[in-house]
Amino acid sequence: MRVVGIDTGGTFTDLVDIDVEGKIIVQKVPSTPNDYAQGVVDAVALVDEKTTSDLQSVTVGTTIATNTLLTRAGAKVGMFMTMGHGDTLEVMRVFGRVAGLSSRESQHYALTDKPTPVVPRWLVKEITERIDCRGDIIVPINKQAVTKGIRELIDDGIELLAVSFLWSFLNPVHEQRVRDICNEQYPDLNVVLSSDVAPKLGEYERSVTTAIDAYVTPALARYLDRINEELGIKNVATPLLVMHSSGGVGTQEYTRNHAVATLFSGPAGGVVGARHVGDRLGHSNIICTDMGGTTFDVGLVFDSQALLRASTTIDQHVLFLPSIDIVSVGAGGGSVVEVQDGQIKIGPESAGADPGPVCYGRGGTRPTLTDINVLLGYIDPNRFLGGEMALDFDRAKAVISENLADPLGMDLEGVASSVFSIANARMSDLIRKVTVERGLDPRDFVVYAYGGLGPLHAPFYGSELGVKSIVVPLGQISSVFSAYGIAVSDLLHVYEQSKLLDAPFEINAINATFANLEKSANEQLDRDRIPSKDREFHRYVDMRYEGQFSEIVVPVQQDALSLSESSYFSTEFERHYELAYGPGSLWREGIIEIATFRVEAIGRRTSPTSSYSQKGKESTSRSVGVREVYWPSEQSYVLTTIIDGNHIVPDCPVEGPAVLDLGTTTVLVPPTWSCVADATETLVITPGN
Amino acid sequence: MSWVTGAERFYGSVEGDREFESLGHVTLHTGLEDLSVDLISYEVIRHRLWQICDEMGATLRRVSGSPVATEASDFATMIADEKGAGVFMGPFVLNHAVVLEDIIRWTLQNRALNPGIRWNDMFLCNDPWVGAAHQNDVAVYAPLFIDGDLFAWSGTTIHQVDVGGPSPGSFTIAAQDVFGEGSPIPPIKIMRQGELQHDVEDMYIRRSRQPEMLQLDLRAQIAANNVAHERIRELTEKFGTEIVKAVMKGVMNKTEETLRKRLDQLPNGTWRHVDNIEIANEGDRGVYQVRCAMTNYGTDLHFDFTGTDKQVGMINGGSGAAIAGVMAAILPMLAGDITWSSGAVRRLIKLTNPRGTLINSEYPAACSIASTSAICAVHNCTQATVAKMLCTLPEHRKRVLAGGGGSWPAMQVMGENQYGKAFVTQFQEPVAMGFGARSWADGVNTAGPYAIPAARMANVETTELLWPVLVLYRREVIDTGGAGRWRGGLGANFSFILHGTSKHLTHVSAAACVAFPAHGGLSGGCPGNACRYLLVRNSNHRELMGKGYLPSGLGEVKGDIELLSPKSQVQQGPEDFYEITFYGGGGYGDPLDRSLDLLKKDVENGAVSSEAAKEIYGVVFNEESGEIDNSATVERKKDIRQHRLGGVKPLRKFMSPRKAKTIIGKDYVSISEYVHITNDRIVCSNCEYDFCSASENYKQRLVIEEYPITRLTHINREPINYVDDDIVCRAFYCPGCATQNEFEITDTRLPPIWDCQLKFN
Repeated sequence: MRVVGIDTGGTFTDLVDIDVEGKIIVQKVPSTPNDYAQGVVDAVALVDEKTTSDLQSVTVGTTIATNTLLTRAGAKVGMFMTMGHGDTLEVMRVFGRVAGLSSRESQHYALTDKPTPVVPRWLVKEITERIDCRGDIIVPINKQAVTKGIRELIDDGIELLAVSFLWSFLNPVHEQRVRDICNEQYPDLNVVLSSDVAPKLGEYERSVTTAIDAYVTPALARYLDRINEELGIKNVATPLLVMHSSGGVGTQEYTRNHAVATLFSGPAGGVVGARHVGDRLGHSNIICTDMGGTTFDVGLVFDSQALLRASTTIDQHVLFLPSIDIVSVGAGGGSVVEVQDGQIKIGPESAGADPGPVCYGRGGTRPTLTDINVLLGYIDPNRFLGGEMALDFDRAKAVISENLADPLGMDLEGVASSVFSIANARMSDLIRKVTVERGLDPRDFVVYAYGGLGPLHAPFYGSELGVKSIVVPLGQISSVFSAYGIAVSDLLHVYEQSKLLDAPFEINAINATFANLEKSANEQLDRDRIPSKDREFHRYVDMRYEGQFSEIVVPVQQDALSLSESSYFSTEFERHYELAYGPGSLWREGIIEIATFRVEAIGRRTSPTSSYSQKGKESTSRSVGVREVYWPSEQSYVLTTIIDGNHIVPDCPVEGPAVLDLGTTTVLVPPTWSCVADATETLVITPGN
Repeated sequence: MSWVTGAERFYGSVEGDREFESLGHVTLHTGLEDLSVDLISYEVIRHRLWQICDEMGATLRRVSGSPVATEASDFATMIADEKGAGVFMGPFVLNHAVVLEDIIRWTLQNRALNPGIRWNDMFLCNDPWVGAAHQNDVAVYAPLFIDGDLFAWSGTTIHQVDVGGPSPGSFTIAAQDVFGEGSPIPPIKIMRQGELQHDVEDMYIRRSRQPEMLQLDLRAQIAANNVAHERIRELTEKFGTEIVKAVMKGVMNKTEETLRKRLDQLPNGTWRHVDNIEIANEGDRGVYQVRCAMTNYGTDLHFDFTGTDKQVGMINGGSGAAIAGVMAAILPMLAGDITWSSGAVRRLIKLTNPRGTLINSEYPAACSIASTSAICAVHNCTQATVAKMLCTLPEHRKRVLAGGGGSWPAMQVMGENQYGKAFVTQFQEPVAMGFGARSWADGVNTAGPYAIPAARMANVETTELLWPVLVLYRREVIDTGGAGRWRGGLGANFSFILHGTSKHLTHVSAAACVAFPAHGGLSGGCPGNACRYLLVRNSNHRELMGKGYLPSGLGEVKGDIELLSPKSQVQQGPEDFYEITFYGGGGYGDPLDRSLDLLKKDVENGAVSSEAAKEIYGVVFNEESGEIDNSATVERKKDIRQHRLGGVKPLRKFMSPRKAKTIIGKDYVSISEYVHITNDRIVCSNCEYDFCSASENYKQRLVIEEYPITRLTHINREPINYVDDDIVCRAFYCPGCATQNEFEITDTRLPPIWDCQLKFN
């Protein structure tokens, strides 16, 4: 029995193939930006043909939906909205001009704009119908208007119809009526209803989520078809699963009807993988850091659960899409470093893969973080990517000298170490923001570092936060860790319902709402063919004081629902509220209310046990040499032992300073720190006193 | 002098960096001179401080209960140095943040001896003469002591929906003076060494119709200050107080240095603007002027408001109004790409601002809507002068925006909600106004007010959940964007009927730019529309809905249209249909220069009507095909140009606009898109028509046409509906090629403004 996970990145498509004993085979093929399915097909082609009958599942993380949206290459979608409200997607609650931008970006007014809506205004029809805030029908839906509207949109050549009426999450009858009429008259037309996609209060977010879902649906279907075809050729009979932004996977049948759920599916994989490894190592609070070529991404696992957020911003659109809460800054290996007004500026501009950093020798002329890492001795120019690509140290040095050191009047070493430290501080600031803004203390966490550069920088951004230790999960695998997470994640469906209840709460109303959501979840898990014993439900309510607009997520313990009185909810709310806003923040006179109910339904998949290294015959880890490496704590270069990370001996600590060269990634063990590997090659790096 | 004895004691000073007389036990941590900080520490601390300011905003938003704060971001955060000079400010409401500086300085000056300024104290203030924008903007701010020295201040303000006084929402349109409004609170100690003073809190909330909201927001403000102090303390523990202070000073110096460099690049000269505010209080029909002459001395910017009308009615501002309006214009355009250290920006601003005018009133003038009247008028003036100055150099012209809405059309409402509870609120829909056009692109539609960088409008569903209304429509409105080569952003409308209540709803409307639009166009661009408030009395909407129709436009209901004055209080009943239309942004450049492709898209997307395309842009569409009729368009444009010159053919053949030359100096300086100075002559950049010598107001030499504001857009109504003065559009055309290169909204009796008077050495 084996599982396969595939992650499509900007540069490479990674495939991870895990057998029942946890042995992992990694395949890397170039990504194919013009046709992302091709990269996946190429990767699948490398899977050993003799063993395909042994495959339990193939799971893909895909950027197809994201790319389709960002390049505006999606379907021609028509849209029905309530009479008088057809501009909702254009107005974007006004906030669309700056949604998702940093304050630095939004303060420069002349450079801000709204994004192009995915459904142009002329394909939006306003339909006479009205339901009010109680769910009562005020004006019934006008059937002639619906019929006429559909006909006109069909004549305009639409491929799908999205429908988003006011208050449809309370009373979906008008939206369903449109679907019925469509089914009657145009049975081939795919109709997407907002009351199905995102049944929550807030017509802008609900509408744009629905519109984007329709917009990316055909592209996702074509992508899945291509992969199915290849799997067919390889005689893979196992189900194709797709990673969702929520950190769970869905069957391809489910995913075809929930295309929007695949936005951000790649980065979610890393957080899921971290939770998976953390479960085994006893780490329940994890700061997940992924540093690759262009960005530095941070997600959190708290209390052994990946933290989700209810809405997500992409391309300045705010979607109701439960997704793993990942925050990014433009700081990766390719981030361009420059001097502006006597100050060092790092990113967000990236040299990308082409031309890439100067040291790649592909015509890059501006220094990047990778060039700095080469200059400081962290990356061995002769062993980059396992020696596949020789780096041009001298060119990097010359460019750093010319572009950075000279204008600042500093020496090479000074400027490089400054850039390194500033970049690390920027990353620790982001982590601090992600944790403290949720009322969490980073010192209660361990940092997991993966992606090509995470293990290199982590001891530095981690120590600034005072975290307990740094973990490089699964050693070499850490550079393709998202693919690992994708391979091992469980099925997850999130069901939500907006419903306003005031304290004191009616426990029967609460139970009924959860029962309803769980009924939908069970029906879906039936379709997914997940046996009852492998199902797990997590219940949450979003609560607030009456009058507030932002909510606190309160997990609901299973047994709470058998309580006869409901003070449980108020007590839990106050506990979580104080946790988030500090002692004394409670408002004793305030009325507490529940705004949203949510059920996360998990279908457990049998996942491989941990991997055991076949190596480890030697008694000490093998040193492959020494080189000059710059250590910020010493403020100088120090002749440092280089250890072959592929031959590191479990449970045998390596004392810093040392550099572990894993081929795909480099791990730094600073002076006074130590590093120890376990049998799965997972490295734990801890500071000394 | 105020007729109230001793009132001057409360006047805050807007001059920065003044020495304090006696601070009693308070010792200021002023930092070491010339302490150099290594590059790494500098960057790390700078970034962290900036993030702390952001985190204050996040905290406010999460804890606050007010839709004003959480949805519209009508609040502010600041980290200031020991004397109250702003080092970092959050990108929220610019007006509120800036005035925190004055409030902190007044507090240092007047509260150090008694009741004292101590560790873990917090103060509260909403006094417009001390510095608050108006009484609704309540500041809660706190000194941060480290090792016994006053190291820094953190501050927050939130717009409170109701702070008392005779009118719901505290905008009192009938007020004759401040005694007829919510009473101002000078700086009082709300938190004494870590303990909230309940007596003081009660005195504060007791005056409000929404006391719980004030309580909740007060806690949000306290939490935000606590967050800032905790984080800054961590920073000083790690890096040392001297280093952190040196970075704060460094950040300010950097901002100052960058701006001075920009002023030095820009030509020396004086730019002028006049803004009109109509109707001083309920029943008035006057129009009042705010005048601004801004002079660039190459190192400093001097704003002279001499000539502004005397304080009048309830449209006045207190001591902080002028600086708040000035900074709101400078920050996003001149300083859009650098750190917003308001304390540093102030170092290069000089004000001449006589006391007793409507933007710097003597106590006890009525000030309750200062943020939408006096401050907006100052902002309109300074937005225009700064933009015109930046237009002189191509590299700075790209930062420019034409004027936006011009005011904030307040919608204060009071009634009983669908759950049987009394409520007062302020609708946040007015954020749906257009941005002005850029010199290289259209203005953004429904983009927000300039004073709020990240405004947000509530969903219709949220509005309907909270208040007893059914929103019939909320759309972007055709032809509201100011016409121009680049079009201003569209504004939206918003219409509702009562729903789920049998009680009437009380509306208090308070705004400017309703009787006529602000003249926010640049380089000959036209202004956007004026805001329009109206009720259709005895409307037949219920009958229509009973028959299955859902009215979604003014033309679809029958009834008696009642235009509401921008200072009015009215009742809406079950048979009344309410509609408001917000501002569109100003245009940039002559509408005849707009590209045909863009105009075709405008017509397709419902941004411009085919009538306006023909009348204003000179582009004729074939009614059947919907395509542009090229030959009819050529004819139409020729007609328009001839008409502009009074039936005379243009002297020169029109040429497409030139790229501005980049030669700077005596030989060639742009004044706008179409006008430049060369060899001491002011010349048309299109046809090289020689207007006059560089020392004259060239607008006097242009062909001038005056016409009614109703010609601009179907939203505008005749000003006579609201005011007595004759306010018109005044367009200026080049006598050579008929290009529209300037535009004013003005009283017919006033001479053309001398917009730009460059100085040559």
